[in-house]
Amino acid sequence: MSDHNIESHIKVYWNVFFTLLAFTALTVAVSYYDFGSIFWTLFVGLGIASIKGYLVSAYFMHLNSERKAIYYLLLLATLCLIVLMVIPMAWSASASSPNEGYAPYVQEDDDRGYVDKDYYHPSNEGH
Amino acid sequence: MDIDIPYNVKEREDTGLYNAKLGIWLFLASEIMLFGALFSTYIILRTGDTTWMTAVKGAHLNIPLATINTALLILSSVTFVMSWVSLKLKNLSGFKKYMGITLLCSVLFLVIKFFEYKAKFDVGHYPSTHNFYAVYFTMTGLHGIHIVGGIIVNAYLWLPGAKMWNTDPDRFTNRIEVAGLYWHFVDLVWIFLFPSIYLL
Repeated sequence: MSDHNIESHIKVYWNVFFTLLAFTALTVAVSYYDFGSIFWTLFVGLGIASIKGYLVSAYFMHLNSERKAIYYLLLLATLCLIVLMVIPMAWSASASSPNEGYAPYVQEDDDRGYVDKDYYHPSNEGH
Repeated sequence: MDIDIPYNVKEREDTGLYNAKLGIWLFLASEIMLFGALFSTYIILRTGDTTWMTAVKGAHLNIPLATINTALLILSSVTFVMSWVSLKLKNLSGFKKYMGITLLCSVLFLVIKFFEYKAKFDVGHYPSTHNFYAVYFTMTGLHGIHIVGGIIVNAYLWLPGAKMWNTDPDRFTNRIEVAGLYWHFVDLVWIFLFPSIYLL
């Protein structure tokens, strides 16, 4: 990398930094906005996080110009991650009640602002 | 007898990388799996629990402090890159300055985290209180341990480890690049943790 090249890189790094700060502010701002559905709330929230993640990995971690070995390595890790995330989620989604598969959780109202008595129900017995 | 470790500056022909860089990426791939498992746990526990949002509301999470922490980590990431750039420009004092700022940001992050945890403990919110707190403390705790690990390595490279600059500057520059890749990953994890736990 020549010195001139590095100078232009420095500018990019600081631009990425300010963009990341702006996106952080945006993430907090949109969290106060009611999108009306959980899907859009998650889509916007995680969408902004993904853009920030892209900026960090592409520019700070230099993934925009990296060797093939690393791309293959990350591809493999991501594929394994997706498979391993889908298995428990599919298993959880196929459970007949939301609680199935979890130990019954009972808690008395103790001024923490919530009561969990309703969470326990007979279908959990014997699990 | 001196045995030189091969490919710590020169790139290997087959991978096109110096060994430490391949090593850190292998480690980061395993870290993706580690944090991925926890994110998966989080999603399943949350979607299966009808009391989740009530617990989150009762937690009174400190969004301003968490936002400051996010900004601190982003700043520490850019100063880390700048410390590496300084070495590329043969400027050791620039490296010291930027790495110093990185370390300062990392320590401030932990101080803020300490006060956040303390506020939870003071009102009797522990990991055993509700699955939300179990997830909150496990994920932010594991992330915090990564910050501590980073601080130890970065502080070493900042002070005693920097001696290598006099004997083997290219190798030292590579060490900073590799430590930086780890640090940016820790920043990356927080970028997803912050909205997932505090905002959504």
